[in-house]
Amino acid sequence: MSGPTLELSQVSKVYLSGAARVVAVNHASAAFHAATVTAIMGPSGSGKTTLLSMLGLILRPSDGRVHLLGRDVTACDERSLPGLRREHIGFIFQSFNLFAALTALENVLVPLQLKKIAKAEAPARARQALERVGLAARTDFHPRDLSGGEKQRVSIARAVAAEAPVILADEPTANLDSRTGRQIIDLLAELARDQGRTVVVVSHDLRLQDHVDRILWMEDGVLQEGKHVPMTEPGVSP
Amino acid sequence: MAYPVSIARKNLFHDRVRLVITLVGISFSVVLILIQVGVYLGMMYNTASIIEHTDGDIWITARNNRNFDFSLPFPEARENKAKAVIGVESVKKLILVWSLMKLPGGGSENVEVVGFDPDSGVGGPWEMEAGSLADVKYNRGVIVDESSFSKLGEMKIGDHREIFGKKVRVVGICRGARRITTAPVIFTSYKTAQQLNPMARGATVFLMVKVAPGHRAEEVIARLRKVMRWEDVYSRDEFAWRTQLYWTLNTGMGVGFGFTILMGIIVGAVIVSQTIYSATIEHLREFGTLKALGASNRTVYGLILRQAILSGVMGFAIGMAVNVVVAHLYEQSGQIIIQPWQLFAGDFAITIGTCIAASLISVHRAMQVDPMEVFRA
Repeated sequence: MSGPTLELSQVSKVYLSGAARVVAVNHASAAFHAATVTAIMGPSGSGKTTLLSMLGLILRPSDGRVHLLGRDVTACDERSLPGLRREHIGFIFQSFNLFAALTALENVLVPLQLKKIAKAEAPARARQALERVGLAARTDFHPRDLSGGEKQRVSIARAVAAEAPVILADEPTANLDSRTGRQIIDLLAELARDQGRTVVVVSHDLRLQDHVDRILWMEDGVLQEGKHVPMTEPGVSP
Repeated sequence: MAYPVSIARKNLFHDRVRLVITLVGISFSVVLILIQVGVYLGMMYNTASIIEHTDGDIWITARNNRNFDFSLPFPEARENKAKAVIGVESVKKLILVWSLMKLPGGGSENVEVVGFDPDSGVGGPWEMEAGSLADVKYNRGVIVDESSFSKLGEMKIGDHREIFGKKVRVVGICRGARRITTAPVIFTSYKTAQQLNPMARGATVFLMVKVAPGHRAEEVIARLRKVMRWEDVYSRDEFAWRTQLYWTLNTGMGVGFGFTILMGIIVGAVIVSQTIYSATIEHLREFGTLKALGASNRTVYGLILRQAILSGVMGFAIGMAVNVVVAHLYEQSGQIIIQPWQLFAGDFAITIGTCIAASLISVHRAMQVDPMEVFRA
C-alpha cells in the first residue's frame, strides 16, 4: 500500500475544565505507514494517550481530520465507529484489560466473536495467535494465573487474531520488568515487519527508542518528529 | 470451549459470592411471593368452598349480607316466593348457625353448623371420608370435617357429642370444609340445625335456586330481585366473590398479604438492583474494553441484560424448588395452599421484569463510562 494507513491532519483536542480551556492536543499532524513501528514519546500529561484515543477512534477530535486507510473517519457518524474499530484497529493496553472471567483463549476469541468469525475458523485462529506469542501452553489459564508479561502477550494475541491492520499500544511495557518489556516490543516489531501491520506505541519508556522505526515526540500537546532522547531527559522515565 | 463465548454467563459465575447473594435475594423474593399468594388463595378458597361446591345457580340471602359465614336469617316461608318465579326449577334451603360444642375434656368450642337438605344433598359435604350423607336425617346425626379434630378432639362414627345442650351423633367424617373463621364445620340436616340454635327456628339463612333448563340465570336473577324485595339475590360466582372480597378488604387480610407480597418484590428488587449495579460498576473497564474492541453500545447493553435475565431465571428456578418444599410442609400442617400456573407465570414475569429494570439502571451507568477509562492504569 502506497499511502499511510493512518493519518492525522491538524488534529486538536480541547477540553473545558470549569471555565478553563485545556488544549490536550494542539494541531497534531502525522502519517503512519504499514510495516513500521512508531513510538510516540513524551512526559506524562503531554497528551499522548489523548492522541492515541483519537487514532483509535475512541475520542473525536475537536478540530482536524483523521484518515484511516484513506477514509476520513472524522466525518463518520458515531454508530459506524465501532465497526471501523472492530475491522481495522487492535488495542494493547497498559493494564492489559483482559476479561477476568475468561481464559486466555476466550479473551482472544472476543474480538473474533465481535467480528462474527465463524465457529469453524475462530478457535483455530485464536490458538494460532496464542502460539505466535508463545502462550500455546497457557490457553486455558485465567488472567489471575498469568504473569504480567503473559497477560500482555494475551492482549497482543487478541490484536493478532483480529487481524487488524493497525495496532495501537498504550504504555505496553509500563507494568513489566525490563526483560519482559523488551520481549513485548520485539513482538510488536515482528508483527509490523512480518505481517505488515502499522504499530503505534505510546510510551514514556526511553528503552523503546532502539527498537522502533520512528519516534514522535509530544510535549504540551504539540507533536513533532522526534529524535533519540538521552535517558536523562527530564520528565521521562529511564 | 464454547464459541461464541458467553461473557455474561462467565462474568456471572466468576464472582461466586456475588452470584450467591444475587440468587439468595431473588429466590427469597420468589418464595415469599409464591407462598404468600398461595396461602392467600388457599384462604380465599376456604371462604367460598361451600358456595362453590353447592349445586345452586343463584343464592338468596338476607338484605346487605356481606359474606357466607356471618349471614343473618330470614323467614323460611320466603322460599315459596322464589319458587313461584318463572325460570326457577327448584329452591333449596341452607342454614348456617353458630353454636357451641361441648368438648370431652371440658370446655366448649364455637362451631359453624351447616344445615342442608339430606334428600338432595345440596349444600352438604362434597368429600366424604367415612359414613353416609343421608344418615344426618336420623337421631340428630352430624358430619364432622376432619380438620376440626385438632380443636374438637378425634371423633369416629357412632360417637356422641353435645351442641348447645343437645346430644348429637357422629354419622360421617368429611374432608375439605375448612373455614377461614377457623371454627370447625359441622354438617347436619336443615331441621337439626334449626334445633341447635333457637334463633334459627322458622328461619333460613340461604335459599339456593336452580335455574330451569332453557332459562338464563341473569334473567331469573332479575325476576327474583323484583320479587324478593327484602333479600339480596346473587349468582353463585357473585356471592363467592362477595365473600372473598369481604375477607380481603374488611379484615385487613388483603392489606397484610398485599404488604408482604410487596415487601417480597421490593426486597428482591433492591438486592437484584444492588448486585447487578455493583457488578456493572466492577466491569465498567471491561465494557470500555469491549467498546474499544468494536462492540456497539447495543452489544454491551445486551450483555448486561443477559446477565440480569440469567440471574432472574436461576433465582426463579431455585425459588421454585424451595417453594415446593415449603408448600409441601405447609400442606402437611393441614392448611390449604393454592398455586395455579398463572401465579408461577406472574411471579416469573415479576422476577424477570425486576431484573431487567435493575439492569436498565446499570445500563444508564455504563452509558456514562468515559471512553478514556480503558487507558487508565
